[in-house]
Amino acid sequence: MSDPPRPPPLAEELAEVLSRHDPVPPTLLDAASATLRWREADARLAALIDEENRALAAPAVRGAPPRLLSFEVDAVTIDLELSTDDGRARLIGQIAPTAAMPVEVRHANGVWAGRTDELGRFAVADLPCGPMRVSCTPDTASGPVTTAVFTA
Amino acid sequence: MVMVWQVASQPGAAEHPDTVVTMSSFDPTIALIAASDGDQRAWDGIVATYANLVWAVARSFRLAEADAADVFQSTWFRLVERLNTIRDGDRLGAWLATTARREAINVLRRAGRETPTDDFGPELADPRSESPEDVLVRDERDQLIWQSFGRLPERCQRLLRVLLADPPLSYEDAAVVLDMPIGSIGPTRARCLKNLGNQLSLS
Repeated sequence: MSDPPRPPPLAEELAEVLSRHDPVPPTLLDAASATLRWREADARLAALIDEENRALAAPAVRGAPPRLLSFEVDAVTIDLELSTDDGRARLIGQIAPTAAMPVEVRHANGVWAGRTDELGRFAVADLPCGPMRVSCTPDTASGPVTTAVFTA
Repeated sequence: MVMVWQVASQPGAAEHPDTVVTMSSFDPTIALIAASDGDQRAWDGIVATYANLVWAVARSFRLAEADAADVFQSTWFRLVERLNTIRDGDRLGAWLATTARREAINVLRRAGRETPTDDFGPELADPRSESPEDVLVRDERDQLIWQSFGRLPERCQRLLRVLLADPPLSYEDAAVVLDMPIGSIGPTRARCLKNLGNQLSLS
């Protein structure tokens, strides 16, 4: 491990200037502190494996083009289409293996709870933009699954 | 390390007296274990210790304030999600820095941009950041250095931003974050600082 040598005076001066002129905004420190409350110790984490923009439909709709997010853990996949308009978010999801099951969407202001249909689909609108996470239990033997937190 | 005291002196941090942990007692490995059990105080210690580094990496991509904020926030979510698996406190800074890099690349890709925007620089610095320590900020040399830094080539700004973050990364880890060969980091750093010195002597 090669550690940097002791910085010369100008580097020290610059380091101080940078931290004074562009410090971490205090609101972000508070937000970072609050992220611990999103800890989910007992669920398997479905990581984001793919993301694409659906820019094709963009000219026809208001707001940003929908984003397609794919999460995966073991044999479980959670595909989400996320669209935002005027500070509100809409989520259309499909969970596989397909089955009717309870599903939850945690967001900045609370939790939306619903169910998927037999094909593993669900939809929820009018969520506040900000951090979000989808949790479900596709298979009671293996326990709950939760997606990585994403931001709408 | 100066970091914690700077955090403590910022407005907003006063509501979180717990973030002021004495550095001598802060052990990242112990803090990780405690945080994975839901210990808010330990988590705040981690945030206070590494916030400057994560922010420096986010800003080194010349992201606008809102995008940099996204990267910063997402990086802490990634850590919360992996609290049960990350155990090596000595590698935590490097892990956070490379995670912030990945999040920054994601933000750029989502925006359909191959290269960062230009709307970053001294003139766009958050005005809130200039009010608290106004006496220092108005200091002439301080301003001069800040402006000269903004005139450096982008590559230099990135490299210096990352290398001068507190706590510092090793050159090995900085090479990963900056996507540069490790052997060129030292020479580039020297060249960029010399460039900055020249700018200052010209002003």
